[in-house]
Amino acid sequence: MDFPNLDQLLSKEVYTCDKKEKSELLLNAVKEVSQHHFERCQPYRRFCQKKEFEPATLSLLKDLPYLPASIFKDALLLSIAEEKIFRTISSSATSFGKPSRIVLDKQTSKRQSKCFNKVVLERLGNKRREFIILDTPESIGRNNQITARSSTIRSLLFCAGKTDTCVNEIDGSLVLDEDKIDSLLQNAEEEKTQVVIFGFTYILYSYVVKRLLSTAKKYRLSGGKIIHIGGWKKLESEKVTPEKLMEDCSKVFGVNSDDVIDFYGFTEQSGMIYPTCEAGFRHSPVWGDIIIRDPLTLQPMDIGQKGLMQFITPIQTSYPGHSVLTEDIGYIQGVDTCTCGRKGAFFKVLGRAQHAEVRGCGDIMAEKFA
Amino acid sequence: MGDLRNKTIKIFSQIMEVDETSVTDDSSPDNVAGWDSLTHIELISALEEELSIQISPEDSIDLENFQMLISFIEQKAG
Repeated sequence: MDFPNLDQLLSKEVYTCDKKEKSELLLNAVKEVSQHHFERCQPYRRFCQKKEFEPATLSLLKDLPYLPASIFKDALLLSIAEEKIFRTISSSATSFGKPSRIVLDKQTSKRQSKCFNKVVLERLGNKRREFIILDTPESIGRNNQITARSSTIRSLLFCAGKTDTCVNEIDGSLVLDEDKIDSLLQNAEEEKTQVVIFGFTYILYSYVVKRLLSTAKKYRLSGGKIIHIGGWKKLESEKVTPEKLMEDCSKVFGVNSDDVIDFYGFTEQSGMIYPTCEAGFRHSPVWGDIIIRDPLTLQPMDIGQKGLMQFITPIQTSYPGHSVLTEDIGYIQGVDTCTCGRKGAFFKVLGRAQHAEVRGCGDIMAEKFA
Repeated sequence: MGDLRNKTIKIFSQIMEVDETSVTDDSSPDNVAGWDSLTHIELISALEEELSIQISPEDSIDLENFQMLISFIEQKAG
């Protein structure tokens, strides 16, 4: 299938278009993709008809109907023929046991990977680095069965050179290999290797940073980067804020605080990833935008106001995930004016809405450690 | 150039666990079962080491089939 407007949008650099240049390009691509889903996904068409929405008439992104993230737990939405399904992705199960499920054809899978990789390279630099993975060897081994956790880790390895893991699974529990991580970090310090330490947020803090702090071990990983991903829920009880995590990581690993990078993303818009920038914000790439909605009225809110986050992107054409209202609360700080120099809306994610029962990968992971 | 191609086929077949004779310009993740994100990384690392070339992450993600791979390597070596 051809999507010329989408192709044009994806030919742009990730964060260099200002609002004026981006608006029309993004709107045209979203319109094109909305029309595609409207024609090929019957449940989506019925949903639009109920909302009296015609994709061809879309002129403002805020008027694009959104699907609540929870809908992907109840229905498998398809905008392609079943025989074109290349992969089905499931999120980590929730407390009610229902994961979100999305389907990818080869075209969407390839497009999502490219978008993901471009964002990662823009943040990390186009350079192969040694990776220390805070997970088990199996997570990067050759297996037929790939878990969501393993899939997340693998997605980052395209920019990795030498890769080591430093967690083992013993009798069903995960255990940090302290000697190994010490040796890897000491070696990186001596060789002045610009390593990347990558893991789920809860593991990074509770099993690595906290442990190293308690032993008073400190490293000087000049130019190193710490990347973490996953839920903060388990850390809330320990009163660990993103600022504290950043501060403690800097203390233990001797990296600049802007080299501690928190990745945010969600299954329903797989391929979209939002790393924190040097100023601590996340940015919408040229192929996406964010709208904050009042949790009660669901009306769009102004810059600076806190509410539910709606994400719009046309990168998936195999299922109608182009406009999703999440259960996460956040706010937009501004558009095009972040001190880091990147264009686009820049925002902060504050956490799950109080009523939300959804749990992230990191929280599921935490239970294995408990 | 023929030698370079043969070397690349050999490395490719070892990593993807396929017979050398089955490797064609059209070989891609779509038709080579073992060609996934992880083996792609192994392939790039092995090519860098064996052929003494450097392939940046940005270049590596654009190498979507064997034809693109061999063209890139020949260009680097040339």
